[in-house]
Amino acid sequence: MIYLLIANLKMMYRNKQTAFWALFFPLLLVSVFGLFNMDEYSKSKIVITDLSQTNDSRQLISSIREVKSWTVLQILDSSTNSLLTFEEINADYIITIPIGFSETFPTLLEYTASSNSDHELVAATVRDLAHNIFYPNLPSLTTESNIGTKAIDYFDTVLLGLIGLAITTNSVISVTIQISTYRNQQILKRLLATPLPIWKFFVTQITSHLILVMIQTSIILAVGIFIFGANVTGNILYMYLIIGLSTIIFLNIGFILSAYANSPAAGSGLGNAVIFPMIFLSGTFFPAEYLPGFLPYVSKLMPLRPMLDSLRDIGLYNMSLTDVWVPIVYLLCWILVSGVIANRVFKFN
Amino acid sequence: MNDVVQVTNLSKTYGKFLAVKDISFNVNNGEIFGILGPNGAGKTTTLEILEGIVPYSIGEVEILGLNLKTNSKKIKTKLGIQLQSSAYFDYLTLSEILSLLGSIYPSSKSSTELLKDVNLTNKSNSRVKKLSGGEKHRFTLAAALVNDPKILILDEPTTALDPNSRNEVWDLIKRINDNGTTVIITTHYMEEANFLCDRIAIMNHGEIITVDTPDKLKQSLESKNSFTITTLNPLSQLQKQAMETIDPNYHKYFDNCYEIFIGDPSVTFNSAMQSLLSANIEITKIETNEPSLEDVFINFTKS
Repeated sequence: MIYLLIANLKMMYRNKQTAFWALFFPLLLVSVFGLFNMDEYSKSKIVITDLSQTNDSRQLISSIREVKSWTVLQILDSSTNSLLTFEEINADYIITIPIGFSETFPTLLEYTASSNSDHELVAATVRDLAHNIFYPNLPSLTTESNIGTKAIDYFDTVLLGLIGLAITTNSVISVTIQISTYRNQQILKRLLATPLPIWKFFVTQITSHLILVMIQTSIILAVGIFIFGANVTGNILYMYLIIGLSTIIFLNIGFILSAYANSPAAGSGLGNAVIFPMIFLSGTFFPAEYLPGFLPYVSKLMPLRPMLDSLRDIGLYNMSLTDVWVPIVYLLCWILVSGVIANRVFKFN
Repeated sequence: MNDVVQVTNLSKTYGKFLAVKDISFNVNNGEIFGILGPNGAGKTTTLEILEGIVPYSIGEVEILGLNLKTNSKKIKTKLGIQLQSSAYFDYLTLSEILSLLGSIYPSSKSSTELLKDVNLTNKSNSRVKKLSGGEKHRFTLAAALVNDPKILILDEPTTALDPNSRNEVWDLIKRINDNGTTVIITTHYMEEANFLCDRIAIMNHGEIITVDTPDKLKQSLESKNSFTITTLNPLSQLQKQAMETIDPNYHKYFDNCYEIFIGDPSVTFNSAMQSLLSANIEITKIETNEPSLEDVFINFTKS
């Protein structure tokens, strides 16, 4: 069995397609997301029209500039503001400081429909900043305290999503193609004519893929953390455990699909048809809760969702295995069901 | 133990299709046993049942004294298998494939020894896709011998090979058999069956029609009794009439070359010759035509 395992690993290593899909493709995505500053993209773009031109208005502008989640694009005055439309200045908000700002209220905040969900926060902040200028001596209504939770940005979240994508792609598609190729070329039949027990064949297939997945995960994590500065601080062994459980599920799905794939090309098509909806519906690139209609419920039925949820809870929020016992139980159920189905439908001939 | 394989009343169905119908045969220790038959005759199904790949519906199969149903795994350790069209792992070398297959068996021959046996030592680090057709067939034989089997089962081992490569594989099979390995082989080629096999079973429509040695099968075609004559000159009308008294349907190859079939049991070869000589036919060459295995095959499978 050891020799079969080593032979499997050799074949994976020598197969350029495996190397591409298992390592190069996920690393390419990690690099793209690492270089692309999604947090900068998510900042609110603000244009200020200062019709007041007083010390107070300039103080307000200065305070607005200090808000880290905003980008001040332009500061206009009375001579230019009426000439520009929202579309032309490409802003999410226009804050207009009226003439006589020191005496009259309110400051006008205009916002685009696309940024509707954030406008209350922006309005409250502007109100608070203006309030501080007019009533500098009043005690603050809120106090702030950093309780030590680090900031988690989009890249941290998507990095773990990309691990899920890499594992799913590698396990489902590569197994489906590999097994249908072996069946087409009668390699499986040849093995069936030997005294090799069927379970040993499955165990070596699963073990060799698990080894590949662990190497794959380690490389993706290392590149994400050490090159692009991802904040993944959770227990790495717990993360590998979740990844291992999930890999077994995806391999089982690959074995099931291979039973219905008459050729390697059909295997590739079937694999893609199954994994791509799962990748997009399970929160790989964006939170699954934001999916429309009933899709968040569909998402919960897929094995990638509990994998990503528990992986992020452990990796980003330092949770323990007991904290994520629900998705783990869900993954174990998937292993059982997919294993039984794979065992029933798998065909050597 | 004389019989290494004993098949009794074996049947196999695929759904409603009866692929193998109540066949019985035995294979003697040390012989080369051929299964001959047209496409769809049930040859491969029969072999795959013996190999333990395909389960059988009805009947009994004993291999090396063991019941196939209850001792499949043990039997597989003693069989060498070459499937009709089997590829091997693309990303492993010949040596690695043989070592991998060898690791599956309780005992195995070294890859170096196997590759030497099939004259592929210089290709040990090559991959199967880099081999020529003949080399691939020789390699599949090496892979079948990896466990030093008692019985070697070959399913059409020389299909699509050129004559030289085919001769190489035949020599190899003979050598393996000379070393004491029993060989069971299916083939489409009469020449191959005639050259290699000690006994032949002819299969058609899932049934075994006959089992015997090639010579006895040929002798069984008693009615096939013909000879070909070459004459000095083209025959005259009178001479042709004399020939018609022996065979009204004689076959003319050329103006001076004829095949004459003696169908009447009362006519002997001697009396036929006397009739020809008395008609002043000057014969320069005479050949008696033995029934070939192809005649036997066509005769048994034409229905």
